Amino acid sequence: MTYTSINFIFFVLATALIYFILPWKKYRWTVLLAASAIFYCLASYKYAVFILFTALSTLLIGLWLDKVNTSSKALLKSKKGEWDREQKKAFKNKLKVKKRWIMALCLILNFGILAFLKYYNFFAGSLNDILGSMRIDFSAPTLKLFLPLGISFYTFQSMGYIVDVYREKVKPQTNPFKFLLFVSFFPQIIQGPISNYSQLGHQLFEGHDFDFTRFKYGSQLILWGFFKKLVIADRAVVAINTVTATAQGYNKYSGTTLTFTILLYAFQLYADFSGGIDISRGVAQLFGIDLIDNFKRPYFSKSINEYWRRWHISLGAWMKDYIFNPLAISSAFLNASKKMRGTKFGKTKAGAHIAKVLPTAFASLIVFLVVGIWHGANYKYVAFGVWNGGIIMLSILMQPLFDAVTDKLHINRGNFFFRLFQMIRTFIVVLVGYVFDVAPSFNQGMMTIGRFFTDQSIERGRAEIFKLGLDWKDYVLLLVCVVVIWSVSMIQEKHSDTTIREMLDKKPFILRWLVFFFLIMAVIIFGIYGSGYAASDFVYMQF
Amino acid sequence: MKKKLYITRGLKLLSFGLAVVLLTLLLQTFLLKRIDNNTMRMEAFYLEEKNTVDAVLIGASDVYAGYSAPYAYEKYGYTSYPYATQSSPANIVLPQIKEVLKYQNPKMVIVEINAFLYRDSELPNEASARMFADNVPRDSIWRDYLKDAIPEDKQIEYYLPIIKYHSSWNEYPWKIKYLNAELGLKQRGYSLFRGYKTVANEFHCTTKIYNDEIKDKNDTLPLAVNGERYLRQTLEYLKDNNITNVMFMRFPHIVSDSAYNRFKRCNEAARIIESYGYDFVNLERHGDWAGIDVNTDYYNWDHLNIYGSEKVTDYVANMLQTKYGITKTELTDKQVAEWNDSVNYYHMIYNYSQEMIKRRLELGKTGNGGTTVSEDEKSINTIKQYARNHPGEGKYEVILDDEEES
Repeated sequence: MTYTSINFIFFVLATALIYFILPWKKYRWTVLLAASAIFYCLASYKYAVFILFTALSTLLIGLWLDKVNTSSKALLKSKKGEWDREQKKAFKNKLKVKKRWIMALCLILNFGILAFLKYYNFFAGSLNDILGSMRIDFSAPTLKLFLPLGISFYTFQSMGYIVDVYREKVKPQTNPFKFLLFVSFFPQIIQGPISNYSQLGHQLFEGHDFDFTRFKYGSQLILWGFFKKLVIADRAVVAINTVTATAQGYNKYSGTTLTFTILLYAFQLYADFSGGIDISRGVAQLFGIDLIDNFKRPYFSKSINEYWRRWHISLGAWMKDYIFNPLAISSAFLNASKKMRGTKFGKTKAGAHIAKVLPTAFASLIVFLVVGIWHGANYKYVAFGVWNGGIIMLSILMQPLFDAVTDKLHINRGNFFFRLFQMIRTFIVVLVGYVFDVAPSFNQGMMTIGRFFTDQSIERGRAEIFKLGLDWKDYVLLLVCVVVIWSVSMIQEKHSDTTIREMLDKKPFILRWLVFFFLIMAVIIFGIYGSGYAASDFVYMQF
Repeated sequence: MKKKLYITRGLKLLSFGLAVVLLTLLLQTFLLKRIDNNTMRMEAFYLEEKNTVDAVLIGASDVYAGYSAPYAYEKYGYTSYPYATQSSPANIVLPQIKEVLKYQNPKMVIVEINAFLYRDSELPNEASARMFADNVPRDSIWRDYLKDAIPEDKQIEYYLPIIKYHSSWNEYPWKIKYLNAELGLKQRGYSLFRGYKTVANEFHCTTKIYNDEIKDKNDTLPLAVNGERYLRQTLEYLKDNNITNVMFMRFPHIVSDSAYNRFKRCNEAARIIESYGYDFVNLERHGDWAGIDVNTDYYNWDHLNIYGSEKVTDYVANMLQTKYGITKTELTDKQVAEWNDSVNYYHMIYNYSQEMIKRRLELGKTGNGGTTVSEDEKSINTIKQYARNHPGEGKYEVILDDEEES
């Protein structure tokens, strides 16, 4: 049951009906839990054991951490007069180590499952390559492994929870069923957003009353998501899949076609992922639950750093909270910075800057390496991470140089054309990163970048582009959709304090309804659905 | 106050939903649907006035290309109709017979058996079945067919065909030629071509063929599992319901190496049909009975051209009249005028096709190909244009609707 199927619509409506007519408000969360369980089992009942294990292990370890916290606090309280400062410090350090080990147990267990299922074959293959090149007669077996639905998303969400419990930012959940709902909430299980417990937990468990406005806004958001996914993403993906269908076939396309494919991919990926998130957020909103927004017009970003604050926001926030910040303030990184400051180079202006931002720069590189690997077990994703992390690292390290050049050229940073230049520059950097997403392998990604410069032929490109499964009418439709999305994004950018839905609500009734009417008809007529079309999975579902 | 708000909201939502549903239904009925010569042929059958069609021929493309109802009417005076769709599969034959008997009271129903001869591996696809299922009334026969033939999760696409055909917006403007022709058909109330479709070509086969050698060949091959199942199901239904005005035929085909096994399956089908006591005529084996010449009468391996179709129509008409006693039907003046209009169009089709065949032969084109003439706007305009430019060649000039043309 995909989010864009008729069955899902009926499933959501039935769940909403039961949820709102249930007279005991405090138990309404059980309806969401039952719906989530049904949704998960219908999609992947064979692998439900994995999500159950994650939920249970995280819950128990969370409770264990809490117990350790509570008992140690009680002990500290009881020893208030007895222990001196040193004893207290020693106790706290010991406690910290103990808590870390408990947390690490949870992280190792759950990330271990994810890593095994997602990366075992990748590492086994790499190991075999290395051993082979060293002429060592050993071969790690490759296994037929399947990824349980949403494993990346629920694992990250659960591990975020355990870190928050460790940091005592949240009180642990004691009800296993409530916690299972937090881990498996059906609108977000396929592709996020990755929510944190303090933001989502209480919303799930408190019984919401039916609110017409929220229901209306939720439905409108779902409709917009359907438009993006069915009309744009699933249309564009036909051409992209044709180009990438086989590794050999991919090599035969001209640089022009490959450039076009990468551009199309940028559009398709945005429509697919943000469309899916709109559906998720819309469905949650029907029940009175606000999921965090995962996108903020990413292609309007003026730097790659900004892009990653606007794209897949929940993953970015997770990485920042649980990897970047701990790394950037880790003693190893801070010591390295300190050491550099003590050197001769560190005493120069440039050296001082580099020493100052070194922890941030390296932490960024590592974070993006993790982001790259998170996308998949393939060297091309490693390259994707290194490219993005490397650019961010360079931009942090060389910021004073860029500033100096900008000043020297007397460029007004607020100037429209300069901002436009920054946006286009950032978009190009993003596109280069996408090359590694699209290309079947790392080598082919590198080849594609080479072809950008050496194999441009409008004639060949034109001939090839119309053989990718889309005709000129489809391309015209996609172009119209680009204009629509761009216009909507412009409005959102200008009025970031409100939503388009709220703005539309203030417009005359006829105009409002015409907009929704045309949107519904556009989905019905131009959507890619029904038999004869294999419904495309959401791109981020595979991650 | 709150109650009033709820009522207003409810009414607004209801009217919005109704508008969406209404527009969707309009789109699915008129614009976003499959429409081609098969659609036209099936829709036109249901426009024939009840109990005015003397003979109905059920089958696939070999029937609507190999039999001309207007020609039969002009020469023999009885009314007939090819209730046929392209590559029709075996499981629609019985529903087709039921449909024909429900909406007309023909003196004879001829079933061309092509549908039963497919191997299991070459069964016609969903599109072929839909040429029937999309274009017939949503009656109990149709519902039974869905239950029998369509997986449950796919049936919704038959009740709401927009799910299947919404993407047909992409076929515009090409599809307008059929859309306009369909609007004309509905407005007029009868078909101009009475289901006939042809391709102007004279096909000369260059490989070994067996049509002269198979006249006495009785070797058989078993039918495919589904083919035999549906054939027996059809025959049992006919027998159980004491339906006797049905006979079976095999239309002429060129029998090459690749079609030889099909010929053998046809012999097996004949054996089964005759074992149930029904008549069977095999013009694939006995093309000479209709005077078929493999060098001049086909437009491709499996389809007769205008010359071949006239010969088969002559044969069928003679058979119906001499063996089954079918006579001219009493028609109203209006019906006569309508049939005469179809005869007029048939002459235009014939003359135009004849000229196109001549030109192709002059160019040495005798392989597959040729100009398709079906009841679409483009073909209608083309044959009319040809008729205007060649007024002396046929009977059509006297009936040509000049007013419409001007």
